[in-house]
Formats: sequence, structure tokens, C-alpha cells
Amino acid sequence: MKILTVCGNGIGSSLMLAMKIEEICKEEGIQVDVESIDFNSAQGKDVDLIVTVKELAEQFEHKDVAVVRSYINKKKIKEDILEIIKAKANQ
Amino acid sequence: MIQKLFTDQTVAVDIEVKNWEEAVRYGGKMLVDAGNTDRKYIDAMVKNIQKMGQYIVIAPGLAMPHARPEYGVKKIGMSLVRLKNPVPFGNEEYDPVDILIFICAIDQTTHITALAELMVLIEDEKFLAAMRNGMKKGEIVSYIQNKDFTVKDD
Repeated sequence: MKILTVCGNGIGSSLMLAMKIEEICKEEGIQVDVESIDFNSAQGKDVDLIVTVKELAEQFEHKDVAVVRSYINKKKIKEDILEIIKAKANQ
Repeated sequence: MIQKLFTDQTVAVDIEVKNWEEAVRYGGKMLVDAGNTDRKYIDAMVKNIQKMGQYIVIAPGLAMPHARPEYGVKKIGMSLVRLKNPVPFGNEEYDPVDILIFICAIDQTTHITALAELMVLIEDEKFLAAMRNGMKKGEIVSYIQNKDFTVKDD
């Protein structure tokens, strides 16, 4: 499945988040393709899940947007989205 | 690779600023002076925060200002500023900020290694605690230069 991580520029925070999600999914044995991208380019992309922080999530029309409380804290990221990713993976 | 990026020229401590914008401009100027980017990068970082919000505050007291490569970046760079007095960025969870790490990247991908290493650094709680406990500029530079940044694949 394809996940996009989003921040304002697509080169800082979202890239860190992408690395963390890859790590988490690897540990859980879930196959994912994670790409980081800037907010504007993310609009209208066809992916399974968009992951970002609250401020940016509110501005998305995409139906599958998951919110993380942190771009770098693995524990929080895991708590926030692992179940969502698992559910998606089993669809 | 980040050992090469944090030097005497790109680390500053006990900087006094009135607000977040001054803090961002200070760290941005260090990257300009070090030859990593043009001046317009500084404005781009400020505008980015004004427009996109305070998500660049990524951990308690820690902000990571940056902008896109097309705003005058010449080569990959990072700078680190410790403020004398913390300033609010408007981030509910992690304000106020006393440590700023600035990044400039030449494209979407070549700085991935540097960014992965930076994550190792900002997850080093011993380092952050020492930074906040008055670590001197020279000590910060040598700590980073001597740290093992091999990303463990565990």
C-alpha cells in the first residue's frame, strides 16, 4: 500500500516521518511504500493513506488522512497510526 | 556526514531574540554566512512558518526551520542555535522553543542520510539535556563530531 507523509515543504519533517513509518511497518511485517511530499503537491494524489499533523490534516479533502501528534516520536506515531495502517493493509 | 555540517560557524549559543522570527533569521543568516544558501532562503523559512503553521516545532522546545531547495540553496547545510531565553512559536504542544536546528537541502533526496543522522542526534536525550544545561559551543561541536551516527538497523 502507498502512504504519503506531508509537511509544508516535503523535505524536512515529512521525510523524518516517512523514515519512522518505514521502520514501524518493517517491524510489524507490513509492506508499504512511503513517500514524503509537500502540502501543495499532495493535493489530489491517489494513495491509500495520507499521514500528517493536525494543522495540515484539516486542510485536506482526501478522505483517508491520518493525524500524528509528532513527526519524529516513534512511540506516538505508532500509537496514532499503526492500527489504521493495519486495517488498511487487511482490506 | 552531519559532523561536517555543525562547525564553529554554524553553531551559536545563548543568542538573545525577541521573538521566533528573529530566532529564525539568526540561524538562517548563519547558513548564508557559511555559504550554504542565498539570503532569500531566510525569508522563505519565515514565510513558510507564517503560512503553514508551527509544525516545524517537532519536539519539546525544539524547532526545525527550513524551506524548499529552490530558494537559493547552494549546498546542504545545517545550523544550530540555542536561545538564551525560550520564545513561543504558537505550537500548543511543544512551546516554548529554546533550540533551533536549521536545514537547507539541495533537493528532495540527497540529504536523507544527514536527516537520518539528525534524528539520531535529536533523540539523544543526554545531548539535549547537556545542551540545556549550559554546554559550550566548542563542546557541542566536538560532541557532534565524536558521536557515532551509524544508524542501527534493529
